[in-house]
Amino acid sequence: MTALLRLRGISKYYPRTQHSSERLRALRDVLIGKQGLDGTAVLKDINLDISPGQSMAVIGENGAGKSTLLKVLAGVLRPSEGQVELNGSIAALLELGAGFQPDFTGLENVRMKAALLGLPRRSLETKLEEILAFADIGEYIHEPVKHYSSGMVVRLAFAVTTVVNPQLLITDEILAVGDESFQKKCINWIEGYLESGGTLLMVSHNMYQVQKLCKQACWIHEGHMRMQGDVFRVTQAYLAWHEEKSAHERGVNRSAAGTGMYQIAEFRIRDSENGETPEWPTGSDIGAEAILKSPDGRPPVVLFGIVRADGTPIYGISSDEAKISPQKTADGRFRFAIRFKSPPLLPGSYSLRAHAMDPEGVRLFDTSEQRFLITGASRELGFVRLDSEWNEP
Amino acid sequence: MNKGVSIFLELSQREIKTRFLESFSGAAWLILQPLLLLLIYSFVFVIIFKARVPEADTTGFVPYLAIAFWPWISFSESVLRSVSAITENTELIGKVALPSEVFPAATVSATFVMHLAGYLVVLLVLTLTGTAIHWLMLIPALIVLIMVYIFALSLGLFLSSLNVFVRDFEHVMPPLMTLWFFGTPILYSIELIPENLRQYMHINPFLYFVQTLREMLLFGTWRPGLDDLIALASIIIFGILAIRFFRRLSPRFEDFF
Repeated sequence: MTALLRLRGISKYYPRTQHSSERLRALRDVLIGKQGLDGTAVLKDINLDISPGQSMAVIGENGAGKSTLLKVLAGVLRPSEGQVELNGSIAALLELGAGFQPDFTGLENVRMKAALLGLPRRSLETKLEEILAFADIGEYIHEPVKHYSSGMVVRLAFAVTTVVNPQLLITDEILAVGDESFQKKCINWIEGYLESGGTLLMVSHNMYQVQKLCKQACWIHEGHMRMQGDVFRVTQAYLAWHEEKSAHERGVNRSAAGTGMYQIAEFRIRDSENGETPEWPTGSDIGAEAILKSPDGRPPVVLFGIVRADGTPIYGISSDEAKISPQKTADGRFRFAIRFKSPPLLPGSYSLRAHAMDPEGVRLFDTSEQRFLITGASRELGFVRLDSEWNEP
Repeated sequence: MNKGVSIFLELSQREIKTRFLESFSGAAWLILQPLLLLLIYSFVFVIIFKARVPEADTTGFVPYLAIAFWPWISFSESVLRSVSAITENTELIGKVALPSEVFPAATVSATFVMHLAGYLVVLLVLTLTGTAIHWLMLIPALIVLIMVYIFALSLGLFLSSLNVFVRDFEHVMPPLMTLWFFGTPILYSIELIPENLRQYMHINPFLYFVQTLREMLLFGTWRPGLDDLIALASIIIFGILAIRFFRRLSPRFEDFF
């Protein structure tokens, strides 16, 4: 199957244009045909293939380069390097209200929008009714757009898109506006569009929407393609990264008392021998072992706990509480092993922590942490799956 | 229909509507404004300065001025407006994939369409007030006007794209156009220029338009010649250069907004 859209080695640099001398130099470079490869890099070496029927989300932090990527895809912006190959019709809604002029009536703006989206003038006449029905703004259509609420502008603009029916639809954060019922209407329309074989590429910060509408996702991070693939995998990794980032900012990650008497000498969780972050599907057993050092030879207490990547505790249990006596492996070294039996953790990023405590189980001396990922496709919310039952009439 | 064409049509319609039809009696102003200017110039030159244009002895000064004045107004207004045609539409150009030529093209076209309507009205008024307008020459005159249009469009393409990189053109152009106006024999005849300076007047491309239009519509003395062919060829070459220049710069517009 040939790709509808193919990006190869896309990079984009913005030249420095602060001073007029810089602008003049840039003008000269453009005139003699020199590509400006200096300046600020916004995108670096992006490769992306979109096949017909695919639905792809572009996610990433603010300023990661998502909108620039979309502009390149939509043909608004020419990349500094690389090739864009498009085999089909495209409609890009980088901004719904683009092309709307406040002094003109809704109807006049609809005509402009249709031209901008590439709808021939003649077919607009036949589709006008459809547009007005979708927008559902009644008599306001004959009023100047400056009297509209921002939601009404969005309704009208999206309504025009619905009749264009492109092979590839590109949207940037557009569903974030409009009221609940209109958002629902848009989502319904996009779902229908996808079912009828349309291809979608969208930017959104709403992961629920992303998971609902898209099968694939790519994560743009600081202008690079950080990850690309199944929507659940990518969004989970992205959210985990966010949680870690905010945890890091709060300083939760720092161990409480690293240089204490009772220390964790070794801490391993299942499958993590080569230093990689293990990934297990929901419901897998999670095993771990820790070897603790005790300076006075008395067996210390260990506490194992599972926390969410942002540090929110989910469950913890100490050897003291469980009345476990450790296995003495050498002089002053004690081995503890634990296995969480099929914990109902929902897909996401978690950490298993081991804390070394004194034999009385009162004071905390050392903390070690291992990250792991739970994978799976689920739209359940929260951290854990609670056993539930629906009462059907 | 091509997407660029329908955007161009929509933009031109919009431009005509906002600039000429939206204000109260905007369409009337379209005729009134150049008429008033014409009145002022006639007053100053005919009554105060008692300027005598040897060429216009038989036709009178006002028709002599009017025939050249309207094409100039269309030209200078559309060039001045198109300078900022790209920089005023950065919002749209940065959001929608479209050939950005449509913006200067729509500005120039809308201005020409409206002013040419005014030109026809003026020619009609002149005829009714007793000036012998050579209506048979209207077809070649239209070709000359189309050449003026292409010339304005080409300059518009150059200036609007350059203005993205160097914003000074917005400020430099109005005085330059005034200079150009007085450097062109619109208010006067080239025969009033001293003999030794007259040859330099021919560097001015607008001279050809002014003289040819007078020869056609006012004197009826125009006959096709080699200079018409040269003018036509130069305008076409200039137009092609302008498009190529614009298309070279336009992919990089976004970087400089």
